[in-house]
Amino acid sequence: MLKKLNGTIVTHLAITFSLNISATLLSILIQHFGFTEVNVVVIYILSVLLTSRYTKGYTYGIVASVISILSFNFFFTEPLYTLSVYDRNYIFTFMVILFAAIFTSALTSKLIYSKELADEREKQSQILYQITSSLAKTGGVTDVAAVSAQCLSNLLECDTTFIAINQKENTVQKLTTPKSGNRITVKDINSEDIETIIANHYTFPITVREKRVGLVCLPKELKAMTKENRFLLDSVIIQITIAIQREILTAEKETAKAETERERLKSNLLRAISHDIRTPLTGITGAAEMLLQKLKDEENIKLVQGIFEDSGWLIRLIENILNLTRIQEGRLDINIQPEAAEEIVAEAVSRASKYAPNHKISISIPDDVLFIPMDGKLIIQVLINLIENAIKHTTPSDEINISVWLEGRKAWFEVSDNGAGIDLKDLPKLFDMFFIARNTHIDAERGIGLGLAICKAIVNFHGGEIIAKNNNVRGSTFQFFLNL
Amino acid sequence: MGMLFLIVEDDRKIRKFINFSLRSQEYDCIEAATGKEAMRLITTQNLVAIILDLGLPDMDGVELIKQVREFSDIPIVVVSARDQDNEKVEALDAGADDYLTKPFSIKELLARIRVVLRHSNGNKKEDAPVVYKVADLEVDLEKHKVTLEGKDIHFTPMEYNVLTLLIKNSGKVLTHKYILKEVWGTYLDSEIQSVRVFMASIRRKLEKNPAKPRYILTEVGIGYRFADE
Repeated sequence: MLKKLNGTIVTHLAITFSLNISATLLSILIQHFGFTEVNVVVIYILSVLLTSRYTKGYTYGIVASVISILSFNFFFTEPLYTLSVYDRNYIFTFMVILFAAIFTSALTSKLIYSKELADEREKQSQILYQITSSLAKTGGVTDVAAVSAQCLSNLLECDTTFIAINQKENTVQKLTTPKSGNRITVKDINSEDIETIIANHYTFPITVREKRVGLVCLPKELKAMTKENRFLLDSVIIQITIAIQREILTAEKETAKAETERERLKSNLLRAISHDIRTPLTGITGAAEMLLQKLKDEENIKLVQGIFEDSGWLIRLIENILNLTRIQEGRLDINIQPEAAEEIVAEAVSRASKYAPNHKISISIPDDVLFIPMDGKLIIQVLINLIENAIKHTTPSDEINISVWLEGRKAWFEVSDNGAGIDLKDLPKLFDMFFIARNTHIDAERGIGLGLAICKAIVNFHGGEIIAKNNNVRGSTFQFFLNL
Repeated sequence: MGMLFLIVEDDRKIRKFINFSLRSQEYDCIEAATGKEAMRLITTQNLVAIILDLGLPDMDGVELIKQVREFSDIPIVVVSARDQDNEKVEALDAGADDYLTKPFSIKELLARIRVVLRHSNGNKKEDAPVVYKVADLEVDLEKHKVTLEGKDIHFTPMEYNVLTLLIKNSGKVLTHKYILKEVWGTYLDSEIQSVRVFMASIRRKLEKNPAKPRYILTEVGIGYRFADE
């Protein structure tokens, strides 16, 4: 580096002196042909101008001005070949030459500097443009990382490593491009290795929404880069960040779209199947009921009664599934409006007890009418599921209590029984889909574990919460609240 | 000649089920699977009531009700799935007399039919009773008096109007819209809430436990029904 600097100084000095010598020789020549001193002065000014043009900075221009005056003095003013002057006029001439020379050389070098700056800027913007346009063609974060590593490697002429961090899948990829060539190596690495790489490199983190998504790693020597390069590097890193951000957003959007599409398909399928199952089930229930009216034989009646009850149960299950699809889809026909708690409870009890007429259900509600915003049909479904659950775990001699009360801005609903209660181990999983309590007898087991999951989905959809607990003495209690 | 019913239903099994239920009560039935066929039978046969499925292949059930109502007061009981509440309300407002939600039992179907037949007979006689008695409740329309277990109960004029409207149509479902039109004389969606408030306060005067109503039953999303049996 220092050698190079010395080299340029030597060249520049050589240019300066040879131009001065040429000017002196030319002046001697033209004076020999009888041209006046004025021409000599002009030739010297020209030489200073040329010096400024072909050297860098003011210094050589000033040096050229000074030596031009000295040579003019030495070769062309009386007494010749000395540095002293007789005629005072020459002092003035020297001053003019000096100022003219300094001024023009300053102007020239400034012009040159501006041009160089402009060239540099153009080069930078071209590089940036190239990088931006190659980044624009990329698809996927890995692709962006590969293009970035290549561009930076070409730009800075060094080994470049790009660490792509996938926060969602928790994977880290290391893409390396060596100094020469467009070869790129991709390697999966552990996230623990990142710190070591950071320590051994000059790194620039790439963050999108306050999350580190990538690291540009350059050799440590590059820390001492010029201001211009540093500026260029910063610009490139901004471009890379934008490209990665774009890729992440696109990917997120696509995932969300695919997700909703899948959900919709699932719900549609479920709903279509449910609808189609419901129609023949209605037929089966009806036929069984007709048979029940006709049959006389006790055993046959029992069999048909079984068909009737089971098909009725299936119909209720289908009803539950249809409600679940409504919730999951957040369909517009979910109609939230104020409903009187007593009406909802009454409807739920009358529908749930249809299939268990022997169970006694007592209800207590507040004296004042309580209007609660809800989708009436869905909350009825919740209560029916809870009541049926209570019926399933009790005998007709047990008690089922339903109560509604107000606590602040929350309306609480409670279904409690004094039946078998909940196995403590089951409590946390109770509201999971497809969970069936283990203490139910295999014969009595009817649920596929949807009922309580649907309750939770419906209650949560309303912004409420559902809880289950065992009573101190016997049985279990299910409570949920809705916000007023 | 027995009483002739028309069953309009595109599902053969459900048609047979309704047919069976009606025949078990010695009623006569004819069947139609499409709206067109139904219109033909309604105009040519002397029917006592129609049982109509709302989901017909060739026309909208509500449209059929509107057409029939232009020339006949024949009782119509609508049959539909549970998730078709809006259509049920539309059908009732268009002039249907009652509804059944699939799946329904023979018992439910026959109960609805008894109610609509009684009301259509009552209309013919044109001498509606002056005193209504349901269980422990007695409503004297002439004296404007309501007694429960022999004790007088005071109602505000509006409450009294709602109660008498319900009791005159006992057994029949009345939509919110119908109640608003009959008692308030206007109909706005926003006023449904006031019907509910009135119903709640009437219930508190009549029912021992408003959540286990004996007299005024709620048809969630549709309206109210006065229990008569």
